[in-house]
Amino acid sequence: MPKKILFLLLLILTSCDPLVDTIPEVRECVNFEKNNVVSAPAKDTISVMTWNIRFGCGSEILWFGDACGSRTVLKKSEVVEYLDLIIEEINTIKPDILFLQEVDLFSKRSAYIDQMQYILDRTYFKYAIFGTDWNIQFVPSDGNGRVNEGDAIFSVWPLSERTLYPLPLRNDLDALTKYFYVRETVISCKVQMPGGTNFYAVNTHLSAYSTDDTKYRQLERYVKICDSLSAKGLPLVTGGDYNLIPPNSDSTDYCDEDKCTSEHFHGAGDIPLHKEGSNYLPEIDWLNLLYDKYIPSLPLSTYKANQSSYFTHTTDPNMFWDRTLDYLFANRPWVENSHKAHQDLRKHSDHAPISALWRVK
Amino acid sequence: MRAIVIAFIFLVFSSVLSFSKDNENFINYSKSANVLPKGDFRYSLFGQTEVGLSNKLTISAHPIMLFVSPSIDLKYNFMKNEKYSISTIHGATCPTLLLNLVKTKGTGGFISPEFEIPFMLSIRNGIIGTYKYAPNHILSGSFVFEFALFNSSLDPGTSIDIPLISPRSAVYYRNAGFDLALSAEGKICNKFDYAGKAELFLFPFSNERYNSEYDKTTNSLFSEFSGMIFWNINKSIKLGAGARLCYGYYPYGEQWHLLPLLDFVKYVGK
Repeated sequence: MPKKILFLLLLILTSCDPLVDTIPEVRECVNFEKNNVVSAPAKDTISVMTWNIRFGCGSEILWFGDACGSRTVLKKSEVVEYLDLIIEEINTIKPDILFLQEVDLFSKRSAYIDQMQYILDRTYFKYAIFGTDWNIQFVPSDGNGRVNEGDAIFSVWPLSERTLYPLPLRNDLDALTKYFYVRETVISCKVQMPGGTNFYAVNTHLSAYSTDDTKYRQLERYVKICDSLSAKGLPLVTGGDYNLIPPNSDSTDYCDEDKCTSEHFHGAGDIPLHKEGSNYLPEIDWLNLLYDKYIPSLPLSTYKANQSSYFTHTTDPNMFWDRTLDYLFANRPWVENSHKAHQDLRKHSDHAPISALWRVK
Repeated sequence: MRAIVIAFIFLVFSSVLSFSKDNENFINYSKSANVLPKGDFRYSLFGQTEVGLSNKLTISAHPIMLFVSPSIDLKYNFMKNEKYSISTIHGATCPTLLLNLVKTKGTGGFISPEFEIPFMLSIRNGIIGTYKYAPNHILSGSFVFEFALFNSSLDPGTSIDIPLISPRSAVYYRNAGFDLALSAEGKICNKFDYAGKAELFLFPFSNERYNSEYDKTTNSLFSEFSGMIFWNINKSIKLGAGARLCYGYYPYGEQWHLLPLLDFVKYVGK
């Protein structure tokens, strides 16, 4: 009952704009562009990178939501420090197309910084799009306050057909939590390479903590979006943070690695038996939906032979990367052995970026 | 819709013209320079309860909020004639307990539990004048200066950046500010009253700690415009409904909000 009263009060307080952007329908992404820019020259082989940047939180800050921490609201100096580190690496690796996940726009937790503009202003990219997946005027929980988080695509070439697609919501949450919860999305755009081959770029971030079939339903929708764009006859490159491990992974349960000090799992009386988002066994073959239709930058055989070299995520800042959650796929071949997990970038985020060279022509 | 608007305008103007003498059962809703006679009191849901201590002095506080966010105001009337009334306002608020109550993990956590809320006070002093421009119709204007004490260790991350709350808590982040208000209220007809108010909250002073975290112009300006229609249930109680349009320069940018208003006023006199 107090939750309902609180909810109604918040609804009244924020009644001019909707309290929560529920992202009910397909819409246009927010466009970012530098002034007076000239598009980069066309290429036959392009560099593509994906990186979950954890809203500029780095890997060492123990945020309450995903790292057994007590921090919610970061200081501006902290966010700027990590964003600058991320930007430095982007400018060094220099991808032509960059997929980012967990980018914040004017969110309280990241000192109300417009991270899209911050990154665009400090990199060589000229064009970018942003699609929200969590846009709430005020989250009345843990001091979160205002949140606008989403995915982004940065490009050296102009972008058109900038589209945001909502993905299915988690069904394993109570109605109130679900209302305020992240609505994962897919964003896509047509990259217009002047004098070269135009292609589609698609970025997504799937649910991290669902314990039901949410991720499968999201994957189905995501693959359908890729299929519909691919059917237009143009090359397509896609990627993101799928929160799923490769189907041939040796380790499938990370409850022990992810548990907080006071937590216990896998015991006879433990409820739940597994930590939310840490047991990948029930969903181990779901990614075959993508592997069956698209070409991975990291073939499963290459991954199987040396798994730890391709790990991109860990929840413990003191441990090395312990699982692969980030991927790149395309409907045209990748340059063989060009896939790289940038595992040396340990401080920047709880995800390592991955990059690969893609033959667009 | 158009018919309702025309009927409303007609009602307002006809009532202004037709009422030629003061109606004894007119109950003030907005703040005015008038003080209540000794022993009388007036209370409402969202406004403060006002009690006449003498024929020149009233004290006001919210009967429920007093226990979580103690706030007391004194109003001293030093000039009054048939048309004009001028009073001074002096008050203090301690928000520490309330901020600590909403500083929690999980649902209801308006403030992150990672922060410490220091013991703080805000002190305000100002002047309010009321002009009776027609029988049963008054205009009031007020100018209040407010400053915060013991707020130097308050972390900017504790701010609750939403309408109604931001303008009333900005003083703790920006050290001092001004509250300027202009209100009009009166009778529409025997059963109905109106009340309108425009309020401007200005916080022009710098606070280094706040400025280093957020843009220095944020939380420096807020305004609220409200209008209500009251139904006089009887001689001592009236129910009101209306809307408040809020504008603010928040750390995430400028924003307008339109909020519904519901309130009542109960007058208890000797």
